[in-house]
Amino acid sequence: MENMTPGEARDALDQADAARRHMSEALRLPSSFHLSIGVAIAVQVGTLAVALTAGWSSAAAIATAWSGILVFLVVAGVQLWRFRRLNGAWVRALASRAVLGTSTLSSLGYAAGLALAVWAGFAELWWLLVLASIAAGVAYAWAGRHWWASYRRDPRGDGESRATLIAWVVVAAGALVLVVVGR
Amino acid sequence: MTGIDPQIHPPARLRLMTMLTAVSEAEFATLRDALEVSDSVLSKHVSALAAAGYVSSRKGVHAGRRTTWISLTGPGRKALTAHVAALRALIDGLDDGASAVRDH
Repeated sequence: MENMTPGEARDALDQADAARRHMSEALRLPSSFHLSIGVAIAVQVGTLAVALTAGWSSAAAIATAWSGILVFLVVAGVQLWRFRRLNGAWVRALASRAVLGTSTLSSLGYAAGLALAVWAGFAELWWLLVLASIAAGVAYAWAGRHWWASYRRDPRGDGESRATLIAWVVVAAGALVLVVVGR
Repeated sequence: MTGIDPQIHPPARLRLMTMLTAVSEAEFATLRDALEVSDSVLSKHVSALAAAGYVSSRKGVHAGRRTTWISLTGPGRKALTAHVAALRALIDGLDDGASAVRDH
């Protein structure tokens, strides 16, 4: 195999970097991606807050909570399917960071919005519950948009490992149990 | 010199593997179009990299048609990192060896 000069090595790296940038810049989000995720999160936060306020043990409350989760899962699933179909590529980090909200900004926005919505529900400030739910959705969508912009600048397709995602779900479920038990 | 990997040495393969770092997996046609190569050329590169354990491929469906999805493997990612480091060392003149290619 022939020797490689520093100039050839630089050219090879430049071409590879350009190809990587081209790959990420060619990726397109489906229409209304962040908006739909934000709305779904607002619905999920609102329904969960109402369910917790109304009494978690009642069938209606459980159905309300599950309906919000279902809305989010359907919207998230459809948008990720559209992304894959549109681009012929899959970015796991998009699913974990922008959709499942494992980025710090998404998590904080969601947790703060949910906490305020639940408090507003117990205080029977229904207007505030709606406002907090919308705020959570806006924060979530903004955090997703922020992540997408940073991904375009420095594309890394891998998201969190399965173990990390499972840990997130366990923590979220634990927090929910604490809220219910602490009532 | 260590680090320069003959499996990744061809420019098209380096570009292919670097592109795959930006995504979790990509469809064959997407990579073919981005690399601007023919089906057969890409297929040969993918086969060689898959034989080295650097990429994996699986059959799937995209837009209603059967296709192949390709992704970087863990060993492939490590090999690419070592290869890029070796190229950077060569550029920086850190390597005083004239032979830039490691024979496996």
